[in-house]
Order: sequence, then C-alpha cells, then structure tokens
Amino acid sequence: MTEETQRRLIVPEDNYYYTKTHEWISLDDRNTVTIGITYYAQDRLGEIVSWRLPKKGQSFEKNQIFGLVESNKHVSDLYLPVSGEVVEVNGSLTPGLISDDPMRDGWLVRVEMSREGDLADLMDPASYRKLIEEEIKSLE
Amino acid sequence: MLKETTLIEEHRRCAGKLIAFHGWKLPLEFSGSKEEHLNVRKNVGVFDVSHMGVIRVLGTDALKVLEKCLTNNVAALKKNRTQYNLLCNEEGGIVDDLILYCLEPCEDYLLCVNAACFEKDLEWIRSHTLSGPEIVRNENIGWAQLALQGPKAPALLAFVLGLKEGEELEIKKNHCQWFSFLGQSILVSATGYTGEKGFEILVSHEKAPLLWRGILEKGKDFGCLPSGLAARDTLRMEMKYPLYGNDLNESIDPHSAGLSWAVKNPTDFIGSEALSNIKRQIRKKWVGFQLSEVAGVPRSGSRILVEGTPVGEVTSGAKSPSLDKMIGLGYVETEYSSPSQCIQVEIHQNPIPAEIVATPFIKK
Repeated sequence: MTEETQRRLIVPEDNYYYTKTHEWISLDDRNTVTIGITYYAQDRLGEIVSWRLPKKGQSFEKNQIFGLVESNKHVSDLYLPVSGEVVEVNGSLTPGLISDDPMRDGWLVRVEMSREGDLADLMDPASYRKLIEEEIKSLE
Repeated sequence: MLKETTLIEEHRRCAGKLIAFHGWKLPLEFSGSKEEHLNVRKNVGVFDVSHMGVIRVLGTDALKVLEKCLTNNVAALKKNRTQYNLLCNEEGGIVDDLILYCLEPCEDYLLCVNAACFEKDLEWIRSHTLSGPEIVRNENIGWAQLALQGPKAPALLAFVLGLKEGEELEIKKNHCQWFSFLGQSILVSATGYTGEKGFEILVSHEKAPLLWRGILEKGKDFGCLPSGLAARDTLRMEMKYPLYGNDLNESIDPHSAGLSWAVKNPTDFIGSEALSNIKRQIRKKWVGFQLSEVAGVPRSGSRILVEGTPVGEVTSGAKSPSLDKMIGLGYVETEYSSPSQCIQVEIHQNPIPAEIVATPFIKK
C-alpha cells in the first residue's frame, strides 16, 4: 500500500467521533468539541483552495450546514454534528494547513454543545474506517 | 461500469487518485494538483489522455466529407500537420472541438475528439458520409494517448526515443511525425492543452505502459511528474483554452467563443450560412476575469453582473496556481466584454467584485 493510500485511511481513535459526511469531532472536555474534515474527506476533495466558516457566537442545530470547503473541482457543505454555539473559529487556516493537516492544525471550529446525547449517534472510529474502506473499494 | 485506460495499473502504482470522468476512470491527481501544475510550467509532466476519442477518415472522399463537416480550412492542411477544428450544426452551434491530423492529404486523416462527444461525432460524420460508413473508422481500439507537456518535454522525449543525448526533439508547432518505439510506430504531434511546449503521442495499447514507465524513469532527471486531470484543467484555464461541455456546447457559436480564427473553410459546410450571419452581430463574448478576493471558486452557471444587472454566465473557474488568484471564464454581453470592465460574479449566492482581464492569464 502506498503512502498516499495509508494517509487517507488514518482514523484517530481516542476521543474522536465521525460522521457519514466525513467530519470529525473530538471531545475537548465535557461540553466542548473541536470539528474538522477527515483525511479521507480532504483526499477526495483534493487541495482545498477556499472555505466559509461561521462567526464566533453563531448557534446551529445538529446536522445544520455551518460552512463549506472547496477545491477547484468540488464544493462540499459542512454539517455540524452537534447542536451548539461556535466558541472559536480557527483563524490560522491556510489552504496548505487544511490540506496537509486536516485533523490537527487544520481544525475548523470549536463548539459548545447545547444538548447532551448528541454524540451518541455519531460513528466510532472502527465504523468510520469500515465506511471509508467500503467507499474506496467501490471507487477503485 | 467505468471504462479503464490501458494505463490503469500504472496509475495505481503511481498512487493516482482515481475519479469518474465522462465514463472513464482517470487520475484526478497524483502528488497534488498544484504541484503538478507548477511543475508543468517549470519542468515537464506526463498525462494519460487515452479517454480522448480517435476517429479516422480514410478514402478518396475523405477530404470532401471533412470539408462538409469541419469549420477550418482542411484543404490547406499539408501532410503531417495538425489543425484545430470545430464541428458545427446547421445553426452554427458547436458539436465538438478537435484536433485534425493530416496523414495523407485528401485521403487519410485522424480526428482527436472529446471523450464525451466521441459517439456523437462518429455518428455525425457517418451521417454526412456519402459513400457509406467504411470511410469513417473508430480508431480508439488501436490507440492509447499520452500528453508530455512542459519546457523540458522536447529534451525528455528525445531521450526516451533514443535520439542523440542532449538533443531536443524538434517538431514544429502543429506538425506531427511518426517515430519508432520498441519496434512499433508512434505518432507524435507538437500540440497540447497547457500552453507549454510539448507533445501528444498516439501509441499502441501494448506499448503504452512501457512508454509511460520509460518517460517517468528517464524523466527523473528532468523533474517529470505523473500529472492528473485537475492540473490539466487549471493549466488550460490559465491559457483560456476552452473545455467542451463547460465553455462550448451546441448552443454556442465559434464567433462568440473567440474561435473565429478556426472558421476558415471557404466551401459550403454545415453551419456556414448561420455562421456568416452570426459574425455580423456578435451578441456575447467569451472572456476571462479575476476576482478581487478569494471568496470562493467561480462555478459554471453562476451569474455575472454589472451594477447588479445580469450580463452573463460563468463557464469555468479555478484558483490559478500560477497567479494564486481566483480566475474564471464566461460569456458576457459584448458591450461589457473589454478588459478592465468591472463586474460582479456570484459566488455562493453573493456578488463578488471582479474585473475582466486580458487573456491568456499568464504570458507565454
């Protein structure tokens, strides 16, 4: 397996949750989560050239569109996996950062969750890995 | 079920990111589209363009058939020359754009056409052929096609073909020439879709993987990278080369698209009457524009406005790797089509300030 193929399959485990729409959520403390796009999502999109993110203080319902990321070929809406208020937006994002390091320094927003139990129906790392492996298989 | 080119295993080996493109499975990018793009401008890149259709028009009526169907001056084309051409309908709308190769004047020609239009073109030419369908042959079965593009392409191809070391392959622009590669004929033409020096190479399916591998192995010292569709698209956009399906279609005529230079056929051809009428009054023009901010990628179908009033539509857009700016192509009403005209382009439903600029976007 090549290096590139391995990278898109990276699915960190500790405290990470995933969505079918390829966002990741990490639990920072009891109420606050960090959200971004997965390595796999970035890989499918290609190099990210532009994005739109909400402002600090904006509130969203679970599964509402909160922004978008785009490459030259595709636009991809971002779905907020939990209800809550945006408490921080990554101000250091650059196209390189979000493309090269989408699951660490390329994070998008931090959200204070307004409802308990919103994490319960998200995917665990094992299920997410299975999902992307199946997707890759069907594509190649 | 997607069609695979002969080079599919090579793409997997090179870790190409495969996507569906007009019924074909093709690499979108390898190491990264921006890197590949800049590398073609600086060194050289190799592309698999085997999805392109190849049609051969052969026989004593070949010239007559092509003169009926094509807009450019086919009769003036000499042996081993190539010519950009258009197929138009009776209304002057563009059915396809293509490269015509003259293998033997009057009687033997190749047409390299767009993948999505291949069946349509084949049908179109056959339906205008008097002496029966044997004159038009589907040559796709016989050929794979590579594009080698970039300032170092002539030196690299000379090396791959075993010419004298340090020598550059000299084929004049719009000429083509047969070479021998591992005992088989390959047809090399000095054409391309990037604005750089380079070649498009027709090679048998049997030898195509060996040519691809040979180019990459011998190309290491030249900085040659396998390159994908994404880089090909941004390279052609910077040059304002049209992409059929985006920038051209059957309701767009060559004059509006800025392709009058490819309408030189002096005979009575399909669409000739409509085209002379259109030429007298061109209502819209195909232009290039640049956004004043990185608000997003201009998308095909988005509106172009002047002081809030719609005057046109985007057909292509991207973040240009060479300029690091958002650029786009689109049709606007003629009176708003001059460089420096201020416009707004709708990006994610918001009008974003932009300016019509002189094209190509980069000077070659």
